[in-house]
Amino acid sequence: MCIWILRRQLYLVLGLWTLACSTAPGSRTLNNRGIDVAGGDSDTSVIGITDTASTQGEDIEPDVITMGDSGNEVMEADSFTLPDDTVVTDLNEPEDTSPPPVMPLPDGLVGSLADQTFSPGFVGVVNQDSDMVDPTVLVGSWTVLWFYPFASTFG
Amino acid sequence: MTEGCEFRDLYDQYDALGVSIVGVSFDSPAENKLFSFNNSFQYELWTDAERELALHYGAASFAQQPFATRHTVVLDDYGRWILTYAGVGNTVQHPNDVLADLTAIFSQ
Repeated sequence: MCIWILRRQLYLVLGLWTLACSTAPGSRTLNNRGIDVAGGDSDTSVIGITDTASTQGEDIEPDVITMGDSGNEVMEADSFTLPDDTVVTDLNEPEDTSPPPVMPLPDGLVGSLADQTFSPGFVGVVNQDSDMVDPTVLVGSWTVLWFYPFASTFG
Repeated sequence: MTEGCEFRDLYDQYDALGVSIVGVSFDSPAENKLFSFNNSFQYELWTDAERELALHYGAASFAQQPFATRHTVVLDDYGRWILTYAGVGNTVQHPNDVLADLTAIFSQ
């Protein structure tokens, strides 16, 4: 009986300590396990696990787990693996967004070689439905722009 | 047979190369819509009322030019100006010439 009382008192002390530490700066919680982890400035932390078995009259020892304040144990448990197709980009290196050089053109073309400038950022072009044309439609596939003087003219 | 109709008739061959066709003029959208409807064009006709495209690509030499010069340009998939066909004369042959050039470029 005496041992049982001491055990309950130990629970009470540990519970109060855990509650006090959990409200302190640096505390952390692992809700996915139902385990409260109290950190703080000390070298060790105490994890309190609710002992539901003892409330049902079973005589078991309470689980008290200590771990280093670095939280390495937690990091290992919560680590994850990226999918194989994930592209990891080093943000410290600027991404090369410049387009590749123009492919060499064959000889004997009817058209004249142009200066390879980019399309102007036009804003006032509309299609036959009066919808504004976004300049980006000229990117993504080759495009033939044929200019004509008037609609419905022959030749 | 207009130039536009020739581009229409060759549309599938352009499409097989992954090349888009767009007609550009200074006509109103309503005029272009009628033009497209009457000739069953599969591609878009754009109204370049401010001559933004025409001045850049050489189909107009000044901003008040009343109508575009008959002129064609080819842009690559990055929007770069690759080929120019200035002063198109034979409007029936011209769409075939452009298609032949593109076929040569893609088949090299």
